[in-house]
Amino acid sequence: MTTTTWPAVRVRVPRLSASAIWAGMRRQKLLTIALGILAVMIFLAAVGPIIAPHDPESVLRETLLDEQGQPILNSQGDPRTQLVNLRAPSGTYWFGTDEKALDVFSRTISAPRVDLVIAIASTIIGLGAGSVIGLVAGYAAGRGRLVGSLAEVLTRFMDIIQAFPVFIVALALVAVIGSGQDKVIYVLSFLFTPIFFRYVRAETLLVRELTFVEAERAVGNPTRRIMFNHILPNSVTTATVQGSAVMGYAILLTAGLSFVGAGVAPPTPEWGAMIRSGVELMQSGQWWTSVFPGITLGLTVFSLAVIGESIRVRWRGSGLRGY
Amino acid sequence: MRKFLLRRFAFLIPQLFVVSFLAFLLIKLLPGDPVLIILGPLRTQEGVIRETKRLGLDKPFFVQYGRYVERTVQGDFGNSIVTKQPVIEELGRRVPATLWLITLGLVACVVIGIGVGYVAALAPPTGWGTWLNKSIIGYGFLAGALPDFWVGLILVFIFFATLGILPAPIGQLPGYIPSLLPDGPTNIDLLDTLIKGDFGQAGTAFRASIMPVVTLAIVYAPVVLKITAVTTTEVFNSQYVTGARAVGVRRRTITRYIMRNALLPIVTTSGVLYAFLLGGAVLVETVFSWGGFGQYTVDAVNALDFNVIQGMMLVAAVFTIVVYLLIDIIHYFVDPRIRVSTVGSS
Repeated sequence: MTTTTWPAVRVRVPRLSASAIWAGMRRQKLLTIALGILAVMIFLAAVGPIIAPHDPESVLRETLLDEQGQPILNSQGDPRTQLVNLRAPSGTYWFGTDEKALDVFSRTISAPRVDLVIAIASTIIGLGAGSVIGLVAGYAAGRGRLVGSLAEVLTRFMDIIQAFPVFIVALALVAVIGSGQDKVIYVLSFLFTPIFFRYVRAETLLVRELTFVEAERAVGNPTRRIMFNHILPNSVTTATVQGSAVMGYAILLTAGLSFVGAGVAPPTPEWGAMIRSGVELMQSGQWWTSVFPGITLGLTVFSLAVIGESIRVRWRGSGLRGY
Repeated sequence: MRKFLLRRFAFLIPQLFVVSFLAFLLIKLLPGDPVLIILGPLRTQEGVIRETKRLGLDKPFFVQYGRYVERTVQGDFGNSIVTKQPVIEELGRRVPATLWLITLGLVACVVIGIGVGYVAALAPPTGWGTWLNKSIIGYGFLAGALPDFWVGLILVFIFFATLGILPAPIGQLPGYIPSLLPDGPTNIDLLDTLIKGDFGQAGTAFRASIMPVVTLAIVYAPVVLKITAVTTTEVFNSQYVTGARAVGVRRRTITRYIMRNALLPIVTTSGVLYAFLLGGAVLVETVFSWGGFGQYTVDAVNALDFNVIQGMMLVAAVFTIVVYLLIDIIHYFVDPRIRVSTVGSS
């Protein structure tokens, strides 16, 4: 009996040096900008309310004075209140103040803690639930009579959920379970589950037929281990790649819900609710209360879309998709 | 042909059943007793029992669902709790305005999308062609990232508040009190005023529809644009187009070859976009006080008006199902392969 000895192969791992990173950044300018924006947003989600120059949730402490130097109290009845509360962007209030005398800049940079957390949490929960259900549905499809038809029913059910217009379902669900940050997370997780379910189920149907799965079964692995330890890691890729785009979508949906008063309510700083507070003001020319949160929101979703797209491009043609 | 349509229509029935069941189930999950909401705080014990009996809420779940389906099929969606009006009538007044808005929006998206996408796909890969394609990609990312309602507000700020050339975002016919709005056959103010021959009002209604339609076009045209550019490029680089060009087929004929083959994904995408716009219109309608289905939905959700919520879920789902049906029928006519495969399989 002869043993074959393989010649030693030296694999050159490229060193991650500062100049290599710099070259990469120059090659992928758009992606670099997107990653930069996202990093800023994540940073703001962590410390936004702490570094904000003014309290994002309560009115300015300093009293506003009228022409005679008399203090104007923040009373509902005084018609001057709204005009005085609203201040155009200046050195003190970079993005101006809104009709309740809240500092728009402080609120804008505090909002990622609400919007980004909703986006990340709902995407992760949706991805988790969608993956597990998709794995089970894909593995069970066409198996035994009962299991197979249960999987079929599950798949049809997911299709039907997707037949309803997303935003309208979101509104209806918020009506059922109520509004607020946690409720929005539940609603969005529910809506995202079918999206990820589809990808994982489709992949599972392919992966379960591969030879290595047969080999795992031949050596006596229990079904559960084959499913979760061997098939799942190979079938979540396409779904995970969608994660970034879904997160951007989550931010848009959250803002939309808050915009119609069904998501996160003021005074909690949230971009959509802030844009809503400026609806009438945009008609009378005070643009700053709506414009700044909209731009910040747009930049965040834009960066998530760019990152998602470049991950998608990178992933195509590698991994199991190419077998 | 008939066989394909019959089979496709037969598929509608189970779909509608499941959709109606989900709409029913959702309302059952609503917090709060509908009887208490209907009767309000000034209620008596007997009143509650009588109302519960009248609505059949003392019956088992599936009996209730059966009654619900029976009523719905007859066009009875119940009454709104807020306005006490039949939901079906209110929907009839409001849905046309929304359909009108999103249809105009879709037409704008398709015209812009196919036009620009086609030019971009056939543009030379140098000079202005590169520039055009790059800007389209950038614009696509940007438009996809902006909330439609925010874009609408920016337009209001520019064209109403600053320039003053378009009417205020206060409905389909700015300057008229809602109760005095023309009551016409279509419930779409622009069409109704035209039918009545009142061109002055029709002009106002036309100007009022510019901003909402442009908003939808700005935000959603890139969806059609992208798919047009991608599929047209693909078809353009295919061997049969290269062959046709090599043997000197006329440009117009080649354009027809390309469009015919690029059309299917464009039709599908436009259809999906149409269904999506019904949800998206909710927000744009709110900005422009359009008074359509979207605003009705928002009011109903905020007031927990359960009959209206149920009705709007049903309308939204039926709309989606009908749009998908239309996509399939268009595919049938555009793509001869479907015809062959249905003949073969039958």
